[in-house]
Amino acid sequence: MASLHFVAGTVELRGVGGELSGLPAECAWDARSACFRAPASSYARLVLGLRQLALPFEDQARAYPELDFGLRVQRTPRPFQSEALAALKQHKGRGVVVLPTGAGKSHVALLAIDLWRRSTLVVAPTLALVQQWYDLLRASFGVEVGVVGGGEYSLHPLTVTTYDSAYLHMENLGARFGFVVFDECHHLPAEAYALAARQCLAPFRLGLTATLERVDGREALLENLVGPVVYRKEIVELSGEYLAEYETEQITISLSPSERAEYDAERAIYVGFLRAQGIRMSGPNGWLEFIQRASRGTAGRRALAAYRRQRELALAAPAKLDYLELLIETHRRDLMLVFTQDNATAFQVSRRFLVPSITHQTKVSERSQILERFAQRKYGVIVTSKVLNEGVDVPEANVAVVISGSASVREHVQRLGRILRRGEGKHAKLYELVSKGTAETFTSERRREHDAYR
Amino acid sequence: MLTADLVRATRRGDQLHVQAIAGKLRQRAEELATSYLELAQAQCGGTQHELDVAWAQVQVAPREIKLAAGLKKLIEDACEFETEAAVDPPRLRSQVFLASAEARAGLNAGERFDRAGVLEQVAAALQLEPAQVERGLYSDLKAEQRLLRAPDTSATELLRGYDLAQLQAVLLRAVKVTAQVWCGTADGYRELFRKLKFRRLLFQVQPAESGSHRIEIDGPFSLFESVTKYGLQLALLLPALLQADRLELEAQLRWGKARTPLRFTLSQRNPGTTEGPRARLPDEVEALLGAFEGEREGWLATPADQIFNLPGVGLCVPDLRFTHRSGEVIWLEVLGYWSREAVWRRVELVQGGLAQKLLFAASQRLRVSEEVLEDHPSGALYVYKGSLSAKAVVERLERLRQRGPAPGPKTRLP
Repeated sequence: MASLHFVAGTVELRGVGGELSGLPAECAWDARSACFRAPASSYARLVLGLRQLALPFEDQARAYPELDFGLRVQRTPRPFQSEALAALKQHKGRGVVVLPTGAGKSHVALLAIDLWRRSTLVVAPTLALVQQWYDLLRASFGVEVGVVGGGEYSLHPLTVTTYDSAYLHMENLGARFGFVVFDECHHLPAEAYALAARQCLAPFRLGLTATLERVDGREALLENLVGPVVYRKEIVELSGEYLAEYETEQITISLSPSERAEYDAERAIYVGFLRAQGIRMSGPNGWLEFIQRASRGTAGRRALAAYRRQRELALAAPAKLDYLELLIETHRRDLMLVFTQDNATAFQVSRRFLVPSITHQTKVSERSQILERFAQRKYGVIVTSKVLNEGVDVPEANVAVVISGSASVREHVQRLGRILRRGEGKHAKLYELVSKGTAETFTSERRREHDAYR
Repeated sequence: MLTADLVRATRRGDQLHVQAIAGKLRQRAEELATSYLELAQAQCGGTQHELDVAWAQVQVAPREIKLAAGLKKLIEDACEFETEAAVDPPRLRSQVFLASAEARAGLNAGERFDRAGVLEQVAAALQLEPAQVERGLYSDLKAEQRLLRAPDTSATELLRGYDLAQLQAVLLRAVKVTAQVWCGTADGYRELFRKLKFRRLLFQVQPAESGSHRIEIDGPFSLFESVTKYGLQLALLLPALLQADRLELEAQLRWGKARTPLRFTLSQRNPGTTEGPRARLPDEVEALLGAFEGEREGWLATPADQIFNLPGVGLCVPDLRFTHRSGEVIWLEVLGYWSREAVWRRVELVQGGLAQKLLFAASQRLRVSEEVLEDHPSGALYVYKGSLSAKAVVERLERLRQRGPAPGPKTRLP
């Protein structure tokens, strides 16, 4: 008899000859192992195809159980959460839901898990988010929850993992979940992560994001990897009613005369090299070309060093840190998040002001302690590099300072989202510290193009 | 292992060439390796950051940057680091940040935050100097870890490792490898296929010219998409491929940030193994071959040079080929006394419909019975006690010959 097997992220149809026709297009004959093979993500279509052919088969591929438990805590969903769930249902449990940060996307996922009751894998971009999903699932369903990633590997019918671990382990895990939730699913179209989605046989799939659009335009791939966008609400439609009121302030800081002189001198070396070599940084390969040519000679290496120094001055000039000191003092009764572009600046801020930092190197236990003390107001400031950028719940924070940042619109919306979580009569404030007359001013302009940043 | 961006390579057309470290450059590379190794030894007890600073003092010409970075990477991989354990850094941070938050919250309008005061307060509580507190704050960061031990290898050895590491790093970006291999003995092939299986790679094998075999290697998902997902497994397989007497390898790559499709070829003959006089077989097989010297009861024995693969079922590499006066060929694989499991896999292979006739010799110690394949037209088991007997082999060859032609692969329709 024909049989289906899950093998390393693919589904094998064994026991039939290569001449069998009528299978889904993505199912191909594999001469290496004398069987038909399809990406695991085509499992549901393959099963339907076999039923249509009236070909009896034994399903040894599917290894996921149905859940014998449901939500323990029932919260009345907000109208848009119910609408999102209904839209997902209409699309047979495959689709992307776009809601602003802080609007309660994860609650939509809980409702969906409760509705379909298949063992579920939640994939999130960072360990901090993994920890948060872990807490949320445990509290909502009252069961033990598995974690894969950050040195842990435990599997349960509800399991949370990172995109990186999903890429590494989906070959082995892909058959054990019937429902998969991709949190911050705009990450998914990256080549390696997309492979993880294709190596998973879950018939039910939900993508959650606040910012669907990617710089590379690959969000179109989500339709194939997860499903179509089934529901979407923008930030302005929800502000006030469900999110904290917020205001933003850009503060331009002049470099000190000596910093200014150094910045100009270093930048002249860097720009001079670009001109001499005819490299256009605005071109698609500008940066790559610069790095390649810079590695070829002494002048190039000097230009690279100059580039780094002028950037360092623009991003973390001492003048900016002096201003940060003022902000920390002004807001010493508030709860403040400070965002930096890189780890080095985060450590610099941490050492200088003796405030805790959270970076990629911070272990889960320490991170959790820092956030807990912040919630208890034992800490007033946390400085972080890109780690807190996405979806981590820090509802207490009411002031955010962006000391430096890249031009990516998404990053900025998420930083903003961080301090927008619902709070009684909460009024949130975001400062952006930009060096005056540096290349960073341009970055900031681009960042503010997004709708949310008024 | 090196990362792909550390490979010294050039592109010519659609080919990627790894630049060999040879001649003057090799001398120079040995100088660099010696300096880095010596500095690493000298820096034992210092921090990783200090090691980096020390290494940065070595003068490197612009065109040597990648070479230097690669050598440093290999040395660093072999170094052992530890975190300074005088004060537990997370505990220290916890105390400092709590004290600092308290101090800040207690400030009145116009008062300034007293950083030195906070450090002194924590230092006093822990019976440390304020400077120790400041130094220990982030001593668990990678850059501040202490170097315990540096590798005790010579520059020559390090460079040999570097040569291999460069080739492996190229394969990290491979989507498919085609290897033509020449192995003098069946054992050589068996070891190679065992490693292929261990790495969970898929392959197709075809006989090629002058007794070699062409093996196409990639993974399950490669059927749908050219993925570099199997690159690490392919890189880890390379040392096993290089064990062959001769190797002609071609890899399809996705190179660089742009993932440009490129080809990479590698050609190697192992000195010490030659294609002239044949390689020596395991003793028991050699003895059996000797017993058939010339001809024995109509059977001629020669070392086998084929691999039989039945996709979806398994593979076998026979040791000897027996040709009967009538022209009929029967192959012998000696399974010895290691694995009972291997015997069952060969039985499946025969039952799966292998197109050749095969005799498998297994030791009595494996507790298997010849009855398992008693009447099968294309396969038989020879269970032997002690050593292989030529007489017993002939008996079984004759029996198998009289069973008629091998049926060939089963039709696999439902």
